[in-house]
Amino acid sequence: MIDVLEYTIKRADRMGASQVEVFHSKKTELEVRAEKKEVKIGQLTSDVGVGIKLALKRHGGFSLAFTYTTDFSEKALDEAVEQALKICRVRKPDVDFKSFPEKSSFKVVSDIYDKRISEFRSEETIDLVNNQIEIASADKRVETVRGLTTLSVDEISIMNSSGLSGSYTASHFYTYMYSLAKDGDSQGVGWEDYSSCFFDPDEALEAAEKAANLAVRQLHAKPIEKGQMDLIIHPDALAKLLIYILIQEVRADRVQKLQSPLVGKLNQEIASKILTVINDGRIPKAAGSRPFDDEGVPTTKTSIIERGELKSFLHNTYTANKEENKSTGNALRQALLQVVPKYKMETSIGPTNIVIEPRTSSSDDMTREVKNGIITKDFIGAHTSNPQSGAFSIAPYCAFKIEEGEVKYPIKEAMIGGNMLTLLKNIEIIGNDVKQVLFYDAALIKDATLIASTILVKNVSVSA
Amino acid sequence: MKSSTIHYYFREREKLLELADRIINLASDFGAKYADVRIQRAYSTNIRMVKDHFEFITGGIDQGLGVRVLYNNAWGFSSASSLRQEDVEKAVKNAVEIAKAASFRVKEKVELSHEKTFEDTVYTPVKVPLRDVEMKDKIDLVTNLSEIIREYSSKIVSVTAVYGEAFGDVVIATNDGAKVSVKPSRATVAFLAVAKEGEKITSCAERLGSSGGYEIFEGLNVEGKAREIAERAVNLLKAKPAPSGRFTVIADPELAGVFAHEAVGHACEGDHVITGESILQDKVGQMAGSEHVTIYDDPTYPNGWGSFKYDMEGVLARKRLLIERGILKEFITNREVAAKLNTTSNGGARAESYAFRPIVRMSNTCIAVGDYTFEEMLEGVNRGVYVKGTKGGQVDPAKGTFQFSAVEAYMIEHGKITTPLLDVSLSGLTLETLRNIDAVSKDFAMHVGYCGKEDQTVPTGDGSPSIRIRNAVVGGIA
Repeated sequence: MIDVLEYTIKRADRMGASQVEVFHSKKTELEVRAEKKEVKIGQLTSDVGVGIKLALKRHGGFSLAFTYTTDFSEKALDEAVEQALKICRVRKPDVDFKSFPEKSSFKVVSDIYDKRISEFRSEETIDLVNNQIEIASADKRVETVRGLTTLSVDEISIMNSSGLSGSYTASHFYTYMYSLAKDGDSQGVGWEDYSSCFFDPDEALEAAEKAANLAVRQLHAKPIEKGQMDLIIHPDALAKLLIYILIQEVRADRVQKLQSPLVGKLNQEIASKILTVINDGRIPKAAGSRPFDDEGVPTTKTSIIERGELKSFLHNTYTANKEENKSTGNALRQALLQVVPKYKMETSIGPTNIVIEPRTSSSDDMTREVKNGIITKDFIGAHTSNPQSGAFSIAPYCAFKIEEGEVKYPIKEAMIGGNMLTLLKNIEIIGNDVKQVLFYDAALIKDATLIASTILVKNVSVSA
Repeated sequence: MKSSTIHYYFREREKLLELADRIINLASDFGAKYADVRIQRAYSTNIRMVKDHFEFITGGIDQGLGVRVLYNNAWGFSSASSLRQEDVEKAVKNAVEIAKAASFRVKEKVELSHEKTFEDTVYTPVKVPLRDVEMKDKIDLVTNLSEIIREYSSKIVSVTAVYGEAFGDVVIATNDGAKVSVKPSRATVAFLAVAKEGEKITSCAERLGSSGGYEIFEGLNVEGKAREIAERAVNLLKAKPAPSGRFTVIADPELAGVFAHEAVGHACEGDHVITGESILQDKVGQMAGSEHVTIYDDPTYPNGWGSFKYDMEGVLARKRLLIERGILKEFITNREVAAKLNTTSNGGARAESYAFRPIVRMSNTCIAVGDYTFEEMLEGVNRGVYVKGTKGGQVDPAKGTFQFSAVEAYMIEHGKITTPLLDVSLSGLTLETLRNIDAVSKDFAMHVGYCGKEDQTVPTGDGSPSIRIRNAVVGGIA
């Protein structure tokens, strides 16, 4: 693969580019899908390509362009470079672009690669899914079981004209199970997922069981009265809210463009004093971990919110250069709600692993604190939130009513309206039941996680 | 330049067709009972401008193949972005091996409907080929739209304008005789205006696009739409927090179209129906809405954003009448679903690209026009909410619940549109909502967008008149 990178850098240089960055990614993925209590399809896909970014020095700065190709013939690589140069020649220079990242040394992140995953044993994976289905179908009321189990390996290489060069391999294991239970006219839905860098069939089976149990517990849902109440948010639901609102709001590019309500709020108290949020790209076994980000900057640990106070935004080299700051190693090729291979995307800014520091309460402790409230596994509609204002209007999903400290009954049809900053301030309790949530169910992102526990928020406005 | 371009592409297509033949023969040799393949070579350009700054200008060359096989009732799929001989062979082998491994575990029989097969070449009618238009012109188009919005008012604090195009070749072949070669070409622009006054921030967005060449922009009134979006975003600054509760709602064509797509279209996807995950399962021939409701999904809509002649199983696609005057008529099917329902496929199999297996999808999903004028619809409303546009939505086809957010909303009081409202969302039960539609207007508008399902995003159109819904659930922050 180094050949393709070296060829492209030389070629771009010869054709007149001032600076060049070539990013190569290969994703090999085995995915087994279950539908209707059966293994539906197994698929093994391999997607490989290079993304080429050129900078052309012109009067007033550098003009930038990005092209990609999945065809590695010299003809196609030349065509991609030529196309990029064409764009550079008609595009206004970007005064804020200084250069691609400088060469640096990368420290290995432990436990992000599992050799067992790279063997892509299709029979073993199909058997696992089959066992998941059997476990989820144990209760007769469970009518439908579907889900997917994915084993994937990412091989990443990067090289730029500043002499930077690096590569790594990471593996991912992900399983998602959904169950639909029926009893008379009533239907209940439940789901569960699990993610890690390591193959873990036991966790996969447990997810299947949890999904089915939740579906059965969701039977015979009742409507609720509207009002102000407490809301207990499971990490899965929290992931949905955070990825569409808070995580977008702490991106330095959004802040610099004044597209965030957090503009000018650094070092101010923006959340409950018990809340500490960190981005950490170096946690062993976490699906967001990697030695360097998607432009070759070593990953780091960044404190975003510390005991309620806003401490830092997430930067890539471009936004950091703009304010003479250092990149936090958050240049990522990610897109919300779209499965796009990395080589097809330019870097923007995104999370690796977002960690909410756990505290001591169990979710049962939390329930006991609630006189009138809801506990929810999930939210529907979080993607329609407005990250610019922080406003959201969402529906709890797989949720239960809590009355006088006890979970009473599953609920149907409720809406919650609010604002991110108000919600952060109203966090009353943070639990100890940590889950690593891949932002996959939330936003189809396969290489970033939320590592968090259940939280309790006071005074949420619920309409029925 | 132009004549050599055409020659080059002609050769490409021939090469892709030959390769498709080799692949399905190889799959059959390995023991596949059924095999289909899609080979794609596509060129794309995407431009995104935020304020006066280009966030990216990207060009791409995508090529690859996706092969799907059926072996003893089990499906296997494999894709590769490399078209080198050894990678192609590996992909076919992988697909068959996975299907074989799965075949020990599946209990249910998979049959495919018998379909008439076609050997055909489909050219998207193009007057001005996208590849012949200079990059500078495309950049100027985006710049111009962005400027129109920025210059509308000093209250506009941000504008995002995007351009996207894709063209190339797709070859679809099956081992039971389909061999279709398609030359797609489509382009789109979209813009988002953000207005601010004091602490209040509002936004409004629009996407325009169709199949064809660069000439499509002449007919789309893109500049006029850009101005309208700026105006709407600024007007929203006057909006007040919305009340929550049950109201009579009038939804504009955009929001009604999204309702048809999200709440009805998804529940009519045959794969959801046969897995028991649609509330419309077993309801064909029954009342599924009021007599005012007719909903269809039409892949043959001329130059439609979600249109196609053949689906990704090579089946000739046709218009499907989902609900006619309130009665549920049919579902969207592929060959597997059609066989289960004892019918033939209406051509609903789509795949985002070579890298994905074909699954049942919508095309252009529409509510048919009624005979009310907009004013007549308003007259009947004492206290209600008028909702316009959508920021997206979500639906659970199994439970039959939906939720989506409007871009703009207004109170309706005594038959008149009054106070503008902020952040309004509409939610409810699909069947109840369909029953509560008591008026449909004469005006019809088609909106273009993208629909996501099982990781795949495909272009879809939503068309509708305005509709009136009694007793709908409106959620707001107030």
